[in-house]
Amino acid sequence: MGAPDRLSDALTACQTLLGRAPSPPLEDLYLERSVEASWRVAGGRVTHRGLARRDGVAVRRPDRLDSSDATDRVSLARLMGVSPQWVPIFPLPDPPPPPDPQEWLSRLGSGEWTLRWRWRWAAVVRRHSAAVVTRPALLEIEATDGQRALAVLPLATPWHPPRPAEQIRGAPPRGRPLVLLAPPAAAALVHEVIGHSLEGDLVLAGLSPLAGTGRRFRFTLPLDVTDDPTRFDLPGGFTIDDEGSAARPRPLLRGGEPVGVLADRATAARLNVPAGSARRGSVHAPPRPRISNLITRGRGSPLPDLRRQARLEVSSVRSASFDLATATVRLEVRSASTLHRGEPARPLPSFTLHAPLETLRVGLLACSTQTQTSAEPGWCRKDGEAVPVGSDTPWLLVDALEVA
Amino acid sequence: MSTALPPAAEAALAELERAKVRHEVFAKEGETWTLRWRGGQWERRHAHQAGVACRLAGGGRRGFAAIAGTAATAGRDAARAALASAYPGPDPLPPRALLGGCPVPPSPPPPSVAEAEHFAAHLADAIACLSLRIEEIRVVTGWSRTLLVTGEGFAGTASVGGALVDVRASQGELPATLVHHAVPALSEAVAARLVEVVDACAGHRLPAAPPQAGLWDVLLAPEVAAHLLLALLDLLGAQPRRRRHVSPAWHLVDARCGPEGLLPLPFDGEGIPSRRVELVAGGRLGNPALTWEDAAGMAGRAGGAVRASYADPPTSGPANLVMGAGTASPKELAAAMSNGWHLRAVAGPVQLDRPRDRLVLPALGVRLRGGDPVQVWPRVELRAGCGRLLAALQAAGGDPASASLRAAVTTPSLLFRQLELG
Repeated sequence: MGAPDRLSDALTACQTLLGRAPSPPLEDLYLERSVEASWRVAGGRVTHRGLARRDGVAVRRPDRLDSSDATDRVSLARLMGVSPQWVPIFPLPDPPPPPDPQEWLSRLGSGEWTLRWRWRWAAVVRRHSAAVVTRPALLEIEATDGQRALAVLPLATPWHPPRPAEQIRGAPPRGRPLVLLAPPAAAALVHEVIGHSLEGDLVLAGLSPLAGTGRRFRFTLPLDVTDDPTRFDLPGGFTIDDEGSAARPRPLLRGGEPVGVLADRATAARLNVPAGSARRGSVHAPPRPRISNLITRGRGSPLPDLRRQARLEVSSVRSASFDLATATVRLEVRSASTLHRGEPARPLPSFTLHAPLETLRVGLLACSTQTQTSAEPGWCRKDGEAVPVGSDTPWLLVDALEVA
Repeated sequence: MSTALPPAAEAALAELERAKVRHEVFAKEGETWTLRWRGGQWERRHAHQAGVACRLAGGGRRGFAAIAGTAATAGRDAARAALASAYPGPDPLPPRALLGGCPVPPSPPPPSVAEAEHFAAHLADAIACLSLRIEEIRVVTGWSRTLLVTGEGFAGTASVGGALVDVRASQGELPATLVHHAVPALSEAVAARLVEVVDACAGHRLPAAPPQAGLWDVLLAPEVAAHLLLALLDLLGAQPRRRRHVSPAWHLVDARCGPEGLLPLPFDGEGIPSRRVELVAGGRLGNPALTWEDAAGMAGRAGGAVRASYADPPTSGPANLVMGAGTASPKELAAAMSNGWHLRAVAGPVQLDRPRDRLVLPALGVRLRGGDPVQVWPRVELRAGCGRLLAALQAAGGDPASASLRAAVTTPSLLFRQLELG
């Protein structure tokens, strides 16, 4: 019997066990194996290397999650509340060997970096289904200033590595300039303001300024935003979500108006929307409605036209946040430059941009015809749990962001 | 000795001994119970985390690998992975002669699940009496046990336990404020103090207006000061050493062996006995402790290794930061500012600008005039350079509290003169 058959048999056996477990009933069983290989690189040479493999299992009952790093029969039986003799030996799959980092090093050039290769396998077992979650292998690149970028492996051609942070002196801009956000920065804005505001748990809690009972909201710029976990060229891709629901593209914004919500099974039932967006930061975290890959489209203008109108272009942000209570977005700008007649003129030091949602609602002026996948925001944190996310975004021309 | 080892560590040692290389096995096991109130219901989590890590060196090569689990297979796999992924490099393992342990106060038994449930319910009731909107209460209790064994005969164990409490509450139109506390044990006194802090952060009815940008006297509550201290150490580590004017009010130590602080441990992440490291004290800057590799052979600088989890190799960093407490109460410190801002809770992550040696710390601020609150703003930004922070500390309060951040931090309120707010 080959390994896939043994795995399939074990999944089926676990499925049967879910029905045998004592009350309260088990909702699902989640098994995971993840591997991270890391390399610290200086001057094109590997100085440190490490490998970590994490296995784990989690069992969910109503309002309760029990998890363990041990995946042996005894631990599994204890979590499920059944006799160990009923539990199958679970053959977690062997991970592929970590890739040779030399190929990436030649593309990164000199400088100091930390590279991490991440591979993750998972299976979700429910009473009537058992399936393996497939996700793309990822390469994370961390610069010395802590900036992290994520890319799906194998790397696309052409692939643009992140740039090291430059030390820029001089005065930051002032006031409320007409800003052109390049795709990495535009993706962070869309992720924070639109993606998070349309997560089902926040909508149910009445915290979303975009959706919920009695709310009508519309950006004046008719943007379309779709959360698409089926895009396997982006870091947030998966075949089924972490509760076993099939992955599918989910329209969130059409013509600037909210039309969808990201939901796990619990919020889907209460909001009467399809499930399929449940993700776990780790085996020890419960699944929650989360963003996967946000695809933004609009009736665009040529990029040179937008550059001629803008006063400055933000090419990358260190971090972004959206305060739901005050409905204010903040972008911590990592790299930007002033524009003169559509051409980059002067690089700017780091600064902060912020805008209330109401100003942003009318202040998104235009988007480019050209879109770009970007390695940012890369990781999305919610309740302390990080999941990989991706984006495919146009440049956005914004008259709403004020320099803090 | 080996009979007392968990199967994972024993199997790893056996595998590495066969390879005839210098080696070290680090095994960690722990449990956490999380109670979280959000959206009108309690959520319960129990997590058992365990794993083993192997480091080795020999023949001009070195290796590191970690595998989850407690079974012998985990240990064997970790050892084999470390051997298979070995690469050319200097020996990172400290010499046997440096390894050992120091006496530390025994860790109190972690609060039981029943105690945590009782505490959480009591806390929720007490906060509800303040007429605040509770967005989230999170009570996490847990323990962990660490075992470090080397191929040269050193074996040491360490245990810690404790609890974390987070409360996110709001009132009116202001955004919610997060209050975080780390304590060795849960008690009614802890709940009472948390209620007091939550009330001070979210229970005021003051006109909301931002501070006028400029220099102000600033009083940091312990919760805010903890974040500032870690950020300050980051900045100090990023800059070349140079003479700086340091206020005599500073007394910041990495009390790795206790007795103060939240997490005293007998040895560091590499097995070097814990010691007290003065970081900012006596009007000058001290040298932080480092990993053996970062210390580059200087034994006096080693002993500063920390491991974020079993899966992470040792890195240099503080473990149990303690800022010396003064005698003044927070009220007395507040009264000492004729017109200043009291930063009571962090409102976002600290932003570090290492090239410019500056930080921005966003926090909920209450303006005090003659000690009386007159104005509130949910996000006051403290902007300061390293030099200014070192020079401008006026006094430390007598109200130490602990936070569990990337290191344990115990600090009282801190009063600074003339820092930039915006």
